[in-house]
Amino acid sequence: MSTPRDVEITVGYPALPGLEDRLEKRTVKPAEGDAAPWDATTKFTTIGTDVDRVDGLQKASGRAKYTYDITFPGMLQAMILRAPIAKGKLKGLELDEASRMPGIGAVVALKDLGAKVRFVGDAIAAVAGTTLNHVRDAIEKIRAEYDLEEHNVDYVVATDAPLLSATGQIEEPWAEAAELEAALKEAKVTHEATYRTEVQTHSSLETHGGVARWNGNDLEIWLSTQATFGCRGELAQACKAKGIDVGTVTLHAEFVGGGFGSKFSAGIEGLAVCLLAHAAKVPVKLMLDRFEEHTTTGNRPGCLMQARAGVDADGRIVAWDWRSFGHAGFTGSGGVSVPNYYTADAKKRTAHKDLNIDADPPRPMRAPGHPQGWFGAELFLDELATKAGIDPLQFRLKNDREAIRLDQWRFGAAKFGWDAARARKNEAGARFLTGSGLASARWGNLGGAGRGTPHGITCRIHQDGTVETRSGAQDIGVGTKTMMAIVTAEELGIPVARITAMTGHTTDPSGPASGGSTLTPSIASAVRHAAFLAKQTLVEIVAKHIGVPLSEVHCAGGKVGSGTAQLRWADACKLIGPNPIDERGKRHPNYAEKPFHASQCGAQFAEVKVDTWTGLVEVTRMFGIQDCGLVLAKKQAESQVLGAMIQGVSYALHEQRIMDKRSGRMLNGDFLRYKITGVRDLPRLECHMHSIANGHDSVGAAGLGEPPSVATAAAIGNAVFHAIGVPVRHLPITPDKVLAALASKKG
Amino acid sequence: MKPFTYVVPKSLAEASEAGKQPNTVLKGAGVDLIDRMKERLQTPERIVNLLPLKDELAGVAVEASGELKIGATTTIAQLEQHEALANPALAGLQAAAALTASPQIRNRATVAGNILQFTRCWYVRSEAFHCLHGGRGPTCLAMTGENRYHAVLGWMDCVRVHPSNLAPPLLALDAEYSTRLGDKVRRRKFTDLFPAEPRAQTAEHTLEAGEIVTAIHVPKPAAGTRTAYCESREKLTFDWATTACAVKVVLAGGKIAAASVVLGAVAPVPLPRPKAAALLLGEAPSATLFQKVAEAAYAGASPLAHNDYKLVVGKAIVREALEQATR
Amino acid sequence: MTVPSDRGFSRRSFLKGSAVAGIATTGLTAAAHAVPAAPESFGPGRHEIALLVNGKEQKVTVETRTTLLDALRDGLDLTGCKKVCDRGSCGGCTVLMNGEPVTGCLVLAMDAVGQSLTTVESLTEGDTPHALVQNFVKCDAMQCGFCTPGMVMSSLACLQKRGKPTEEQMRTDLSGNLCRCGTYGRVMEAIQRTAAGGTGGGK
Repeated sequence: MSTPRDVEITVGYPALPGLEDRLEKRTVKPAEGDAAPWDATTKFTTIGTDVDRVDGLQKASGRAKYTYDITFPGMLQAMILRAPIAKGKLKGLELDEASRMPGIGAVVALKDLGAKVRFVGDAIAAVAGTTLNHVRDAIEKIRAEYDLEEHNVDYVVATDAPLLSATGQIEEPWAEAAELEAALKEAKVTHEATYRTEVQTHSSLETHGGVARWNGNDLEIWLSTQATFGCRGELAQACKAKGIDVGTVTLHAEFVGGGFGSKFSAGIEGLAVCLLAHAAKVPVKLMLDRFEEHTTTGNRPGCLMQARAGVDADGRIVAWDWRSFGHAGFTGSGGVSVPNYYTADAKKRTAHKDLNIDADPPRPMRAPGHPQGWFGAELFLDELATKAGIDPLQFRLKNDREAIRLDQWRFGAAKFGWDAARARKNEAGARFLTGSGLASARWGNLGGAGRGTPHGITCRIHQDGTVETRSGAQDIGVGTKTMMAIVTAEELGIPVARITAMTGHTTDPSGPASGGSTLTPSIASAVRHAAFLAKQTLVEIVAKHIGVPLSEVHCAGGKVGSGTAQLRWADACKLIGPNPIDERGKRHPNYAEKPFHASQCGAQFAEVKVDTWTGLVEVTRMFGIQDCGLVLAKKQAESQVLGAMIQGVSYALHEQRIMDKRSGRMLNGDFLRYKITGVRDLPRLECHMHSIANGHDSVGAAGLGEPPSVATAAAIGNAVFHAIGVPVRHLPITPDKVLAALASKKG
Repeated sequence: MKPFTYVVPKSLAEASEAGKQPNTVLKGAGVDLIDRMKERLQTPERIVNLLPLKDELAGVAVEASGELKIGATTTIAQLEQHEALANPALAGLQAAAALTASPQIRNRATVAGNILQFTRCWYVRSEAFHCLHGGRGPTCLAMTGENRYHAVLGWMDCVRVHPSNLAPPLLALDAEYSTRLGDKVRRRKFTDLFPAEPRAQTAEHTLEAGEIVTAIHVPKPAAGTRTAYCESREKLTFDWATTACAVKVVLAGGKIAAASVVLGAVAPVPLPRPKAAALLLGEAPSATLFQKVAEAAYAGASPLAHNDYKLVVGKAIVREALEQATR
Repeated sequence: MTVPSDRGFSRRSFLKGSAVAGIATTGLTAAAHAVPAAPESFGPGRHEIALLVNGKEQKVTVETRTTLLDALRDGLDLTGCKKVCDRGSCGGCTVLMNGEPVTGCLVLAMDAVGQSLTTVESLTEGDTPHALVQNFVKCDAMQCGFCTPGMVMSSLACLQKRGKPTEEQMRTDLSGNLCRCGTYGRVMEAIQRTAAGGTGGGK
């Protein structure tokens, strides 16, 4: 085994076209027994190449079994009775008639009498029966009575919401801050504006829910989740709290139809399906319907944001004052983040206030707080730059303090054709106006070893030459299995085709939730460690077999051996015997040494076409450059970046939860009126995967859920501003708002 | 859906007879019906399936007179792709068919079903809301609630809009429709299909119980006829129109000899605007003229709290349709 | 005289079709047959029907209110047909009916009797997966994969109808399919690649 030693590595990245490289030397101390770090000089054979998604065929053939597809003989289907009121108390609940309906196997109450009802859709009771039609028939027989209280589902008029003018500008006085006021006074140009975003729902195509099966006290559950181990613990606790004597809990989530931050908890639907299966003594499936998915499983909160700032004669930001107010549902966080790398030299202040309303609270959604904050801040920057007579790109080059992004701005602007795009003038009186905008992105998370027991991975090498790499964490579609296969293949020097990657069963080693873009950086080096250990064992077997000292045997390029005594991989594996090599790798802590960068930078450019007659905005093309850490699964990573941009188009132009204020009920809880970008709205998209060796562990991976989601809506907002000459400060940028903006320009 | 009896008629007479029974619904593809049955807003005891009556109800044909006959259960896709529609006089009808919903829906939904469908108002289509049009409440909830997609013209005590894409071009083309009620066969003007006073709880159409639309007839267009259909949306992929307009113009010697302008998605019924169309007569096409016609088409509009944008967009769509038809 | 001239139009009547497929031999049906003047009708209970799925006749028990989607998923375990919105708005349950894509959630199972149905599973029944399926993998035209089977079916219909579709035609034919992960561009690449005859090799 290796001992701790100093290793010199090269971090950073080679030159982007036309720019300088940013390669640096570092000395790191890997943990005892860990593999030596990969770095910017490593020559890879599999990593960074195009590898087919390892479960792609299962998905494309319809044979992949998601939670929704799990079925057992005699299994019942279930549904939840939801409160029709936004606020009050449950006064009466009569379940008997429902339980006597044909085909009904179990009915359980989910809310106690006298308990608070907190939003339309709060769970009251659940019913399981032979078909959903039968269950629905029975649900209609449940009599629930409520004490009604007055409710409010509009955070903008919540009791502690800021004062708004008739046009939606925040009119609340700013709290005192003498230094900031002085900086604003001294500034050459100042600007102030209010921005607003609406509630976006995650809209995972597979709804939340599960299939539960009890075997005595042991629970087996299939759950559509992005946190297998967290949900396993949650359900064990929740069932115990309901008085059930719980033995072991095994959770499966081999395929998950999207999560985007909404599926960290098993939720009331997870508990309900366990309770129903326990009561009915047969397996039960409970999957939410689309309306429940929109209205009870969280969202990206809407927010009001206000900025004021000043720039000096050189175009540097000298004062920056920012406050935000976010919808927080009946409890939760409506938090908003803003970029801080433009204002390093400014006198600055940021403040946020959550506003509670009687609605489904937010949950983390792909870069929580970021797309909304960046939309406000980046549009504000463009307004400020325009006032100061500075090109938006130049304004950012002047103020951005992050070296990586400065390279990205320059490279991206050249690729996109920024100068030409901005110089192009729309014809006077033209119906269609084009415009271009840009925006930055930042996300900071390098992953880690996990709390308590470190994240683990199993690697098995079988006698037939096949290899398994297994994690109990889940792949929610980002390509985790593929990444695991690629890292294992690279470490063992064999093709990906020999490797089977498995995720999503809690019988395998524990791993993190898919959240905060931490899964990949948190397990990639554990995958490598497991493969590294298995390789060492194989090398020992081969060394013994060919009779050479261990230190002289290598495993690379599909061969194991020394000098001329080389065994082909398949032949080497034949020496293993009937029991496979079975090693458990772990995620060691990040190196103590400073990584090349602690956060991921990105920049995106957008071009739009605005129909001034109808107000419709079409995004015609986008270019994104994204810092990806070390790109492991190239094709899947690209898919994720492009997909984030498409989601961003949707957020910028279409998505909003529309509430009926009197009832507190969502009106567009479907896919007809809750509008998501479709194929006809798809811009021409291009991304550059900026691979950077950051030297934080033996792999140096980064996650890509969040980072490419931050900039898109902001870049589109800026492009619309450029096209029509007035900012639309309220997402989504729907035709009515564009027309109002155009009218304000004329007026 | 609640349980129901599924009836398979062998003839139109049998279907019509079955359709007269209480709490019975005649079904084409059922695209709109199944949706409402899932919400349990419609709970028929019997459903009479008209799809098997293909000989009587399906297909598109050009008759000897030059009239186009469209069978009621012809799918929207079949209509769109029919060779007879590759004609400038029917371009509006083809565009309306092509812009309807999604390929999957167009392959399934019938022409008559599109025309006879229930409004998409999000209050009346939800089990949770008790509104006047749904017969369960005292007022129109949209009138004072969230109404960005609701009516700006021609509304009375309910601000629903008629969602049909096909109705506006068919009205513009002076189409007629045939029905069968028992052994009675009737043929009427398309305008008769929609209520003159579209109040709350007035049916979307004027058919009697058991009366089956069998076909739609488009008279042979006069020489020089051109039609167009345009709609505004919030996204390009699979969206409901926020406003729509079908126009017909007959050009003779560079002047407009005959014209129709029909609005969709802005009133409780598809709305012919004869006064606006009359402004076109005897005139040469021009942007100024079209703007005047667009203004006239929306004259007397009463927008609601959240939909005055529809006036701006709607007028633009009238202009666009006129430009397309005279291009 | 009207001559239906639409080529896609089937003149075979439902009854002939259903006779072939052997619709429901329930007591209720027998009773209906005993009264020849009344139309055939099927009551609210359960009925065994036969669906022609992927070239094979398959018996499945449904209620009159069962959708084709539920019959395929719950009755025949053909779970490639996904339930996503259950209202015809997302295309997740796209199957081909007589070669044309439809959403199974808006079709009554009873209406599907006698129709030729194709589900995504048919594309991997042979030894080699259909080229389109292979190209979905090759082009990484999926992420979470939940919309993917529906996308595959719409893409298949597009290829069958157009041969070598243009981008405009692909966008038309895919416009009933919603993807939350944002795979549209890669789905179009997979279609183009299949149209061009490519099945393997590098990207």
